[in-house]
Formats: sequence, structure tokens, C-alpha cells
Amino acid sequence: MAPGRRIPLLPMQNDFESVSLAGHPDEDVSLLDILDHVLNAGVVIHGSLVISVAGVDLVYLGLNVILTSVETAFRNLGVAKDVVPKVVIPKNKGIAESKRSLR
Amino acid sequence: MNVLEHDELRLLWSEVEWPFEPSTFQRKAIEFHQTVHHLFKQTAVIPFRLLSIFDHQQSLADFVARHGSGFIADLERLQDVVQMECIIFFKSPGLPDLSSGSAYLRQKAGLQHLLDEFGGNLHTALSPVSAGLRIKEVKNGKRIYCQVQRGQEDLFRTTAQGVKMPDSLERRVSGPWPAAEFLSESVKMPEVAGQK
Repeated sequence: MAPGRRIPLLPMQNDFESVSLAGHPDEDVSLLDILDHVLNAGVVIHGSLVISVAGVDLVYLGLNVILTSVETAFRNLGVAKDVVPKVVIPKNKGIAESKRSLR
Repeated sequence: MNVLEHDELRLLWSEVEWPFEPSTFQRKAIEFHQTVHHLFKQTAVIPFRLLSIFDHQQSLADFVARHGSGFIADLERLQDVVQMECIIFFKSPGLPDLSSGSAYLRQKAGLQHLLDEFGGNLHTALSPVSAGLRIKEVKNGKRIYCQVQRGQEDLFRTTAQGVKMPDSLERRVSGPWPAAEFLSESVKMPEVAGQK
């Protein structure tokens, strides 16, 4: 798979620290849980995204196919929390600049 | 945030610059999650995956006109449930027994048996507190998705944490999440004309 343009995310040293949701301090989730769900759960229209951690692709969304998931990251990051995850966004012909999007 | 109304459906969407500033992706993902979760606290929601992009508002309207009834049916079906998850996996893969081929296979089978047995115990324990349950095999582990009645999340957590676990395994319990794993296929992966 041609990776396209690689976009580094912010360093995620805090992956396993909780992210408190505003207004819901009783609910704590990890950043990886959030990324996993916003990218890997729900309706698939189209899109192409690869999240990689330390060069290992974890999530691929493209042509409505999910190849693998983020569980690996939970383990990998458990022993190497200083890795810098990256998001890879392959070039998508259908996406022009400044489009409307569901978020 | 914009709202598109179609019969009983309300579709929330927003406009983003594309391509967006890379350093903001993480923040955008959290904001997206917070928005979805804020609504989810109040009612059933069907989240679109982040970066579900429509060319223009009319294409979104057309999409809703075609698929709205399926969305409504799923929202009604999942109205009172949330999705809770339990992931089980090996703490460390450990060193493979390479003394012989059969020793390696025996070791691998033993680890798999351990995982299957614990997964089975979790399944048995969680079934009474779940309206629906799915197990997905993942690398070095299993991911268990459960439909749980709203208000029963703590019972689920207590039950999942209470199952005796072998030392070599770990578990992570998370939720509540929108019941995305229990959407019907036609809702989860609708065909969109001209957007394949």
C-alpha cells in the first residue's frame, strides 16, 4: 500500500493517561481508546487513513475495509511509551481542499 | 456545528478545512469524540468515522434520503443500550520454544487454550448482563463487545473484572461507547453513489 503523505501526530507520551471528558469527570478513557473508536467504529462512507506507531501501521480505512486495529498499540505502547505515532493519509482522489465533512 | 433534519433524524456535521493542519489532528479527534459522547449521554447515536467527507451538503442530504430509514431503525433498536468492551491479551508474548517444531506448536496451542478458556469464562460471566455479545479475534488476544442496558455499566465492569484471570493475561475494560459494533451492515457500510 502506498502510504501517501505522512503526517506526524503530537508525541503521545500520555497514551495511557486518562483524558477527562469535560462535564463527565467520572468517565476516563485513554487517548488510544478515543482514536480507536473515532477512526475504527461507526459508519464508513469513504476515506483513507492509516495510523502508525513507530512505523507499524495500526489502522487502515480505505475502500470500506479495515485491515487491522489499534489493540497492538496498547501492547506496544505499554513497553515503549516514548514512541511517536504518526497518521498517514494516503492521497484520496475524491477529496479536494476545503470540503464539507461530517465530524 | 450544523444540523441536517430528515424526518426523525438529526445529522450533525461541520465544515473542515482540507487538508487540515496535521498538528491539530489529535485535538480534533478528541473534540469529535467529546461531541459524539455528549450526545450519546442523552440518546442513541450512530457515529460516522472521523473524516467521513461529503462533497457538499446536497450529497449529504441525498445520502440521508437514501439511507435514513435504516438509520432510524437502528437508532430505535439501540435506543436503550450502550456498548461495553473487554479486551484480553497476553502480557508479553514471551520467548518461543524453538527446541523443536512440536515443542513450539505445543507452546502455542497451550497459550491459545489459556486465552480461549478465559474468553469462555468471560463470555459466560458477561452473558447475563449483556443484551448481545460479540467476540472478535485480534492478534494475541480477543476483543469482547457487549450490548449493555444504560445504567448497567458499573455492573458490567464489576462482572468483567471479577472473572479470575491467568497471570499471563491482561484485560482492559472500557465504555460506555455508542453501540457501533451492533449496527446493521447496511447502516455500517452503506453504498454511496459516486463515492467509492
